[in-house]
Amino acid sequence: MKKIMLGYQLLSCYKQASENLYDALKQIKELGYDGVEFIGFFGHEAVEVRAMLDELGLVGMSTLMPFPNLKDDLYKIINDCRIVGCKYIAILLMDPALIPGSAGFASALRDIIHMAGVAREAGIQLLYHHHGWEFGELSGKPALDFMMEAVSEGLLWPEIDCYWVKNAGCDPVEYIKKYSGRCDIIHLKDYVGYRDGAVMFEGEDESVPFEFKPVGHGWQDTPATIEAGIAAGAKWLVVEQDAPSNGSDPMSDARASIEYLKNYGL
Amino acid sequence: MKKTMIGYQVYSARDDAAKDLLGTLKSLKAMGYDGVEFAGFYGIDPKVVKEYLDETGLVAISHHVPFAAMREDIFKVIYENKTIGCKYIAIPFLDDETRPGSAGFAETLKDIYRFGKLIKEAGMQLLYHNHDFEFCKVSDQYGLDFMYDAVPECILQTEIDCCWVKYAGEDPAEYVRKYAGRCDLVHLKDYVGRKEAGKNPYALIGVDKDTASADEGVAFEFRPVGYGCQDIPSIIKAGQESGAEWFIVEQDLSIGRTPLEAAKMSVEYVRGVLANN
Repeated sequence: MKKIMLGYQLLSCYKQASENLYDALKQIKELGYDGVEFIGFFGHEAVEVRAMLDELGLVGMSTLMPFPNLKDDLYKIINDCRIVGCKYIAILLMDPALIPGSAGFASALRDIIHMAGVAREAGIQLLYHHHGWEFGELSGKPALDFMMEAVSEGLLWPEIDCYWVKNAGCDPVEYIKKYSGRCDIIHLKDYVGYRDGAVMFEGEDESVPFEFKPVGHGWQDTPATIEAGIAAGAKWLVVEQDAPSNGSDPMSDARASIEYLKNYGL
Repeated sequence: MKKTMIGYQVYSARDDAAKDLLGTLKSLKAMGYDGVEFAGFYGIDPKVVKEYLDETGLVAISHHVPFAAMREDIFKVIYENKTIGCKYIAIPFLDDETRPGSAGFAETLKDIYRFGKLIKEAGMQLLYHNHDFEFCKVSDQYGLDFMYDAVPECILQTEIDCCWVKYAGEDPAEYVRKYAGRCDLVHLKDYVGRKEAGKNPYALIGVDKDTASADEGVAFEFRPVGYGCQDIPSIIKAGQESGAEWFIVEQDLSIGRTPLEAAKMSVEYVRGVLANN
């Protein structure tokens, strides 16, 4: 059995997936990925998506889902996920009126607890995909930790995004350890350079222009992250790259990422 | 219209209750209270407490159970309250390691959720009884509102303590209206004096550590309902229009008269207001 499965977040090739989902999935399969994480189903019916995955031999383990979509259409999304075979839904909280620190956060938290409970009954684990704003302080701790503690253990797990953890000045390895047993999916995301608001680490050169990079090709300590993920019981390492490097084709970066991971021995 | 009931928080006459619970309950019934809210049973078996209630004809409304006791054994808490027939169980207070603004607050919320669900499943309702320390800001709103927003109505209802709301600088009647439909129980509590920097009113009632001595707190004094600075008729009106079923008289400390004398003044005043509403 494999130590850990390798996945690809389709946001990284959003244009290609929107134009031709089957073709994008086929390329990802050919590159050697075991599965994909969706961000919605690109306008396709769940049964069509499932048919594509089955034909290609890919697993659709998860989908990212913005909070408002999940709030408005929880049962349709759950139904779709059960058809596609997604075992996880990773919620995104982006609305400035709802994120931690805003007065709307408490009610968003209540809704998330509700959604997580319903998803659990449907056999789906709700994950929370954080950004940088969940690292602000909320009642004496980073808001992400507040959420994970306030929601009954097991109902909500973090989908740790190594880029945003580091952007906030925290150590991805420490975060993975902290949520050992609750981080089935880890987002590997590499980069170089300084971006507004980011916390820099010792030895990092602020003058380098910011750019997302294929996994293993940037400033992240990817080997340490992989080892921490395996030790913490992660099931999937998901490659996510918000934008291709050098304006290149996302698929060539997707190739560089998986080649790095295969060479590492995964 | 449904009759509005008047209750008494037995904590207000805790020394009397500890000496003679049955006698105290009889006195309260004779004064005209419809029911009582407990804050512990003074070592008496809940089955015996139930017999006392049946004997006096008082309703067991609710019970203030320390949060730590719920954490220790929520099932025991539920069993005891089912035994005396309470419809409500209230978290009366949160210490400085569990309240909004503290690092323990996230876990407090998780437990409130769990306890509230278990209590609901047992056919009762969890309430949160506020002080003034929940009026600190958490994620850009009062910690108290954060709790009520983060936990659904069916799992957690308010038990608005009018004294502490006003003491914190907010209007109790408005607060009751804000939680219309979620305020079955309203705590009527009157006082004189104002909030002073460095003074902690809980030091007066011995539930919180504080460096200020009781002597320094003289500016603040609890009063029988209707004898202090609160606009009680407006609070009662707000409660009645917001679905309150019980107005519960509470007076943490009685100065210059016995707690039961104060209890009588309070119930007579509240009856008078209800008769005029």
